[in-house]
Amino acid sequence: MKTELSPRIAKLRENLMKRGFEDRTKEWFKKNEQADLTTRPWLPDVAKMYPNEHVMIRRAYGVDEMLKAMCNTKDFGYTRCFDIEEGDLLAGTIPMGSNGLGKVFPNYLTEEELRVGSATNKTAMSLLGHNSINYEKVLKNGLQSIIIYAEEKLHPKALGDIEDAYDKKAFYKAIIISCKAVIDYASRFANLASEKAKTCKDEKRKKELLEIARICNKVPAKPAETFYEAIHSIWLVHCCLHSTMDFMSLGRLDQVLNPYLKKETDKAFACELFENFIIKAAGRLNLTTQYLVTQDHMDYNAALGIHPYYLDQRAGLNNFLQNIIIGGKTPEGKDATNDCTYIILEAFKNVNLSTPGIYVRLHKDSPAKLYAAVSESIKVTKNLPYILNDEVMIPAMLSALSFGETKPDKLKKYQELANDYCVDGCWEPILNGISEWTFGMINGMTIMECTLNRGAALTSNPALLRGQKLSIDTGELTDYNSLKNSLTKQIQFFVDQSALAMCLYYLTSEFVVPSPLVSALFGKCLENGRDKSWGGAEYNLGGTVLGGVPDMVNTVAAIKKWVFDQKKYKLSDVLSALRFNYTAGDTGDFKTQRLFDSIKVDFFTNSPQFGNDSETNDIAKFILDTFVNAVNQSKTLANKVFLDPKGDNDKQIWALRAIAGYYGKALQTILPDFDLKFTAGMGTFEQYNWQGAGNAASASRNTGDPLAPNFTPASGTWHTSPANLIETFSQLGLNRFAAGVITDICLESDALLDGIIKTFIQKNGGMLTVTIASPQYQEIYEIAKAANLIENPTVASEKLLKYSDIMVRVGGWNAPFITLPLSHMENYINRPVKMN
Amino acid sequence: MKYESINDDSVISYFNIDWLSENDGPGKRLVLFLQGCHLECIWCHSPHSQPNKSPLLYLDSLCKKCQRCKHACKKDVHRFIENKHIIQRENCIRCGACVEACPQSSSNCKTGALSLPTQSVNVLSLFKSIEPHLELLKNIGGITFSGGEPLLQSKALVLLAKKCKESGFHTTIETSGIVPLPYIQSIFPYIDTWLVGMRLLTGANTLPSIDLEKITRGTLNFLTQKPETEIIIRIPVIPGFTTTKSYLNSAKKILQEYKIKNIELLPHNPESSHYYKAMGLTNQIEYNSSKADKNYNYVIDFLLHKKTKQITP
Repeated sequence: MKTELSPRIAKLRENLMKRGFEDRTKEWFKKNEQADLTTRPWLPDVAKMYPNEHVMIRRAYGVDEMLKAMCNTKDFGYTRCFDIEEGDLLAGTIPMGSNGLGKVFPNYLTEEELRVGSATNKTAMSLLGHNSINYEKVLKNGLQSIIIYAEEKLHPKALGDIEDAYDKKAFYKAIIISCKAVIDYASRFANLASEKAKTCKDEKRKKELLEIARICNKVPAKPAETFYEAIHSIWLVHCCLHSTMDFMSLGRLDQVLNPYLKKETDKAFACELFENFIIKAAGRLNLTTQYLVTQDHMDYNAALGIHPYYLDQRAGLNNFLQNIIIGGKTPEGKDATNDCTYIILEAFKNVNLSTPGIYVRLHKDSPAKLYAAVSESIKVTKNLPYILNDEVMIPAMLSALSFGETKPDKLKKYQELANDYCVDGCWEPILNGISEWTFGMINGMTIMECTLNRGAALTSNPALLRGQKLSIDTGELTDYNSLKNSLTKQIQFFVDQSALAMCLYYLTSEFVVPSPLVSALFGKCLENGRDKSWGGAEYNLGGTVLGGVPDMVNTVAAIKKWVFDQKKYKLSDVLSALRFNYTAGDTGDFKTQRLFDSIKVDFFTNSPQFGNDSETNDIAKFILDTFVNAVNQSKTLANKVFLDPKGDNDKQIWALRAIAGYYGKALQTILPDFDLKFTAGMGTFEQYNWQGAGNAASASRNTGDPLAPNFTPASGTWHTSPANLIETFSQLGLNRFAAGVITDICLESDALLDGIIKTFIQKNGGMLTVTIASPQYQEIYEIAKAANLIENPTVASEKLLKYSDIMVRVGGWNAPFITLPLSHMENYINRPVKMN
Repeated sequence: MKYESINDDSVISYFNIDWLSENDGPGKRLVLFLQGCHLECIWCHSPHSQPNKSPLLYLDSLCKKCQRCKHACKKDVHRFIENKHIIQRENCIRCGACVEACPQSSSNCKTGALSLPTQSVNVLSLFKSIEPHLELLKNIGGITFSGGEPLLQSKALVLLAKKCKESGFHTTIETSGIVPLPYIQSIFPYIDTWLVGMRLLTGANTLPSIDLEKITRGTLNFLTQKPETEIIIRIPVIPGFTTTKSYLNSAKKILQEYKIKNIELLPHNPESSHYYKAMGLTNQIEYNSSKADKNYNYVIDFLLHKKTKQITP
């Protein structure tokens, strides 16, 4: 049952939805390029203000300037950042910005830094986030204590030697500047609340405003003591991080907040506060697509690691990289479910917005009450929460952390860390608030093409002869074994390319995108005197995420069946068919077209397909084993080349480093405790449309069609019970994928939901999102399509208004269906699994 | 009527699996539809269930007239005349070449333009493929064996039902009851709920047959011996057949005789012509919605002892 929202929350939600349908272009910090800067002020250029300061200090000043600008109503009142809305219990507003639309921040890089950064695809706007903050420290100690700690470190005696040339002084200065900036920001809101209280006629509201003023004067500077103070402290810090380009996630909030909840006697108020928190975090929502182009603030370097990573901007337009994780186990391995778990879940169920996301960790011994609450919430919201399986994710994290480790005390520590895992603002598993995460994505269908076509894509452009050369030539395929051998070598090539490059990430980010504010709160950065972008965090995880695995499985299965087993087609004919999208075209004769048609029918409708039955399991298992092995092989090589100090005396190793683009000492020479743990994962995020657009045809796919979303049977290829898919998972050993393996299922009915969730946990599925299909996908699509073609977008937007509560999963996050690109909508229409 | 088993004893022939039904036994159920029925009721809405072997089903609305079936077929089953797809089913040897060649049909799902729906599968491998799903249904329903007449494959079905019972799944069987008693007896220990059709008349007959009444009594006589067996009588309400005074009187007498309280009336299926079309047959009973509704209410009143008003069926 959905609980009625309180009038306060209902009003706040309604206002948010209303704003979401307006043109939000005007709310962005925006400079007027043409006009004189005196008529439209812009954010100060920190690089010009402090040209001689270390980049960390410039970045910290940038944080301060940004937070000041947000409260400067004279110049930037149009951003609506400095206000306390009627009824709002939380002060602080994040300015417009998102994963899909980009961010705004004062420039802090010098012209030379910017120019050189083009070589490594790095500038200030490089996409950060993808980590979480463990707010426990902030609540317990407050930012003031961090400032005191940093000031003590700056005292010459305590500073120690700086033999590794790392500027600790600059680091601690940057910490102090950015923490002070946050405290100042909170006190500006304290003053605003006091001012508002003075003129407030409503006695009840007046009291609320005075309470906000009191709290903002106290937290996050000082420790929080009540539930309200705790949640407000988290909100203010979250707000400052997200306003200053660090899209950090929220971590295990039920664990952090429960001690404070115990002191709160009014549980209904606690739930209301959390509902308020959700609405505030969703404040940047865009619900209509007609004003997006004018909000596009993305620049060329939305990069992860050192590879360009082009986002599907529209699908990511409401993705803010913020998740809350509840339930699971304590570091000691006991069930971690508490009262706050249920309150947070209840709040999400009641408010039902597409962001923030909520993940619940479940294990075999999670309370039956939690299982029931999860199922109930999905039935009401049709989406929330998403599910993480501790039975799989804990062993996965443990195996990644303990790779090559034998010492019992270390292993014990790793077990505790693994028990405490969470996911970041997307779905990559991380260690809560102590692990720096980076990752590379590889497209499995590109690997597939290179396997079939001797290292080249199956391009149809005749100028490229055999096709665009992307990797090594692994030879002609003569039988199924040779296909497997070739696939193994190709997977290793692409994994090396992606995984080894992650080591270089640590050699560039520090000088472009340091994060002093994050480092103040993150892992052991403060104690180590190092930014998180350069080994400051206690642990560093580097994930390699393979996309399109279900398509790989389908394609191998079809080729095995029709080419190698039944010998109905020659491989060369199949490759031509795939290369030319099963179309003989102008040059092809009738006979060729007949052959292509026949291949297409067999590859689309007469071949085993992933997720339906056990027929494809051997193939899936082979691909997974090969992939995991490749990541481990890569790690061994990375250790030898980049990490191990032994290499410093080996000319051959220096040569290898140089070949990779690095000519320096081993990372562990520079920083003895540094390690980059490699993890493997499977998924596509929102990129399944994007990635598929560049791939040749395959089994059950035309050229350019989307790949299968994440680790889910491709849209329209799933014909049996979800139980069969879960049965498949139980045989694949998913507990090897510490970079996550997530399945997004869309069901026509919620009739079997309880059983599906339970079975998924018991049979060792990895991560699961469920969308209960709406019968209205088709009609929304028709309206959106018509709007693109003929209709006045404003009229269409009004028509779509009534569907704004329909949310779907787009690989990495949830999105309101009405905001999706048409291609994503089409993909969804075919997705729901029918069971009769 | 032929009673012989259509397969060897460890193989089951079925033409459909419904993964989620809420109308065929208690709770939410997987329904396994077994191939073959000997009764040939004229109102049957699954005529493709009746033959022992798979009929070739064809749905004109899905056919793109690409003629690949014609090229694939060695027996000249498919002809195209003036862009009309004409099927000579008498030539069909069920080789499946046309279904495989058809881009609108898939061996992975059975709702294409062409299909040979029947599959014959070893009991153990069938069980293995449905077991994960049955686990989902464990405390909220179970499995229902339907058809066709499932008991025509009684030996194999006993194996399957036993396997299901041993795994703790609730079992239901839907049968006409018009089978030799040993078939009923042999599966009896493995069935929790019996859905028994009151088939007092079959084929195109409009009057109840004494023989069929006798067999039905024999079946119920056996089933009602153990009071813990759940028995539900299911009567399809077909105007002019199961709505006549003579049918209803006989039925009512039997229900009273065996003190059966659970009765489910199945309204005439508006889609009953679907599979006739797919098989190239014309169904002999037209569906008429107002007639169906009126008769349905009449039968409810009659069997549930309410005041009745005679209508013209």
